[in-house]
Amino acid sequence: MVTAFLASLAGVTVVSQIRPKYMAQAVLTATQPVISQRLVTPASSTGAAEAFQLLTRQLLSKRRLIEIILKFDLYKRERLRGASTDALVEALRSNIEVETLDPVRARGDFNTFTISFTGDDPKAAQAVASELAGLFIHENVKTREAQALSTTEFLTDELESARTRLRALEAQLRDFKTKFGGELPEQQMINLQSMSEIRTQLQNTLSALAQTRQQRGAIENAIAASILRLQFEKTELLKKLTSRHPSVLAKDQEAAKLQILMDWIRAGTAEPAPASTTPDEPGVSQFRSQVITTLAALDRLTRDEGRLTAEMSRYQSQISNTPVREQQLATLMREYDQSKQQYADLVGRQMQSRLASNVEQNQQGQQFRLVEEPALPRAPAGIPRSRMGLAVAGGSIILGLAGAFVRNMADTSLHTERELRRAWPFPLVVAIPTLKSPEDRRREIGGYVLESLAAFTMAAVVFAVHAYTRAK
Amino acid sequence: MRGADELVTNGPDSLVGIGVTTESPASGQGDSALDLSTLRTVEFGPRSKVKVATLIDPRGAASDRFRLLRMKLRHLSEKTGLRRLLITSALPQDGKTTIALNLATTLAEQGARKVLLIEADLHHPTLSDRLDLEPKPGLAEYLESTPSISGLLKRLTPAQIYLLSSGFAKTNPTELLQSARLTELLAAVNSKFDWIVIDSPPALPLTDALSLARHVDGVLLVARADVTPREAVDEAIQRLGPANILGVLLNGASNVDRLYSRYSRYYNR
Repeated sequence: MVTAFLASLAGVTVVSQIRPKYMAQAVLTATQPVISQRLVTPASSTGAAEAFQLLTRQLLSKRRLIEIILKFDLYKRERLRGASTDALVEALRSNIEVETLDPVRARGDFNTFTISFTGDDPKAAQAVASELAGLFIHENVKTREAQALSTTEFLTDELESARTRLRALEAQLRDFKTKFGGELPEQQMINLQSMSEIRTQLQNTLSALAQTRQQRGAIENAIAASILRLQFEKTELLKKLTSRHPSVLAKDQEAAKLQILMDWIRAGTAEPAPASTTPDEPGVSQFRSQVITTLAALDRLTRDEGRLTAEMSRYQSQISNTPVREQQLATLMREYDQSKQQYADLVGRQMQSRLASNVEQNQQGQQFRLVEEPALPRAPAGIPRSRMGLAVAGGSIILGLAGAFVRNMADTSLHTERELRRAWPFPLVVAIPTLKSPEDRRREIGGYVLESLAAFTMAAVVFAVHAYTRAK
Repeated sequence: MRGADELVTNGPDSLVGIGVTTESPASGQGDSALDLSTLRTVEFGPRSKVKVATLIDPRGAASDRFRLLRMKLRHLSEKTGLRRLLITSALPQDGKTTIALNLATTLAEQGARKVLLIEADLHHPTLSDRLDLEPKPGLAEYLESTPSISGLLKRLTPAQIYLLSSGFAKTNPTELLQSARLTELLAAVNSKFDWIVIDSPPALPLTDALSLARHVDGVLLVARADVTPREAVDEAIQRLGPANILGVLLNGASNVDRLYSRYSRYYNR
């Protein structure tokens, strides 16, 4: 009991020494945007709950709290005692409470919350709470504006990049189509048709070429037969005439001309044979015109064949390259389409962002508004000290009693004569009190008086301290 | 050094020195002629650390309880011839010596009865010191070698009892208390005293109390209220033998004091 009494006395003393604290509280609410979100998507994607968390962190940041301490000259006593900045910041942080009044639900439609500050001075408490509420509101507006502006700037930059990229892709596509003009997939059918026609032409040309070559052979044979005939006629003439006879010489001249024609046609060149100094004999003249015609036809047909064969090869090459070009073109087109789509998206977003920025600049977006300004606290916050003291005293007494009970339960010592009699049936069981002389008794009474006086004095001191603190 | 309150108040016989007799130590014949009137008388005064209830507060509750105890002992004595008592406890610091001195004083009835108090705690003798008496040879010396008991006994005033203090044991005290000399001693003093009260060492840490219990008619076990565990008292009773135990004295019982306080005005008017 003595322990309980002393503990309760100590508790009451401690409680009486606790300085009164005053709490001022501002009530704020989150307002929804004035313009429907279906018309203008907000630049800031953060909901009220997220903004609340973000702003609370900003509000309780070290820099901000130091500013508040200096502005309102808070914790003067602690600063005089040389408390560190961190300790002061921590003290202020522990005295600020930001609390939601309605539960934050999953979808984040968050409404009302309070910002409170607890301090030693009621006026300072009110001023600090008011400052905190103002900071909360202004910081929110600033943050949202900054978010909207930075979003627009970002989108503008992105749009420029997208535009450049799109132009580059367009040029690339154009170059590709130019470079691989006949190999593009859409030209494949035309190529096939052209190649078919050329193949037909080539077949006709080859056929004509073969006929002409046959004609050339026939002409060669005819010329050779004529040469042999002339040689026979010369031989017959030499039997009659000299070799210098004009008739013999005419035969030699005609045969020589035919031999030239023979060599020409065999050479197969389109170059004309050297012109004769004398007029051609009728037979020679006929052969000459046939040779010229045949060789010209052969030359023309041979050139046609070469041209058509080259064209065939070109078309075949184009047709065989078409799948490759098709794939390359598809890749290019895909990139181009994506870039084009991205560009279109960015254009739309930029316009949206500009609208959202205008909304935020006109303060028509989501905001926090002050519902209730912090009032000047009239009474100290928390549990009244009288109740706290009573609770401490009561707790101490209960603790003391519990301790005594536990001690009593654990105690196996003997206390009374009756216990002895119950425990052992001996004939002599006598309890003897503590031996005290009259002087001992007087000293004992004196001790009681002194203890009572000490208790009364302590109670009086506690009461006086309590009264003094209240008066202050 | 002699205690300030210790006075020699008797005649020339009191000057008989310790150990000056020529009798054989084993015979004990000299003790048969023990003359109590020749013993030295010593007085313990206000500086004594031991309180004797019947002297400091004759009408107090403690005195009354000792008188109750005396009455019960007398009753038993008439029935059984009880004369020799052993005062012991389970554990040290239970108040054996105080109880023994108070009981001896109460039994003496201010000198009407002859009571001998033997301080038999040879391990930690405290009585002489607490009574502020000069250290003198006593029980230990008798058990070791001293032939005569007369020089070792003294008359203690104002308690009006006879005291055989512990003395100074040179050998093992437990061995001494188990020697035959103790029997001789008790035989020598038995016929001279109405009551013999022996203050013993505690029963649980030592075997001395067991040795002494063999020489007495009954044992009184002292327990200190609110301190001595019940288990320790049980253990001591089992060691000493329940048949040898006369009773248990609860020392320092507060409820008795409160009971007497309530009716003190009536009784002390």
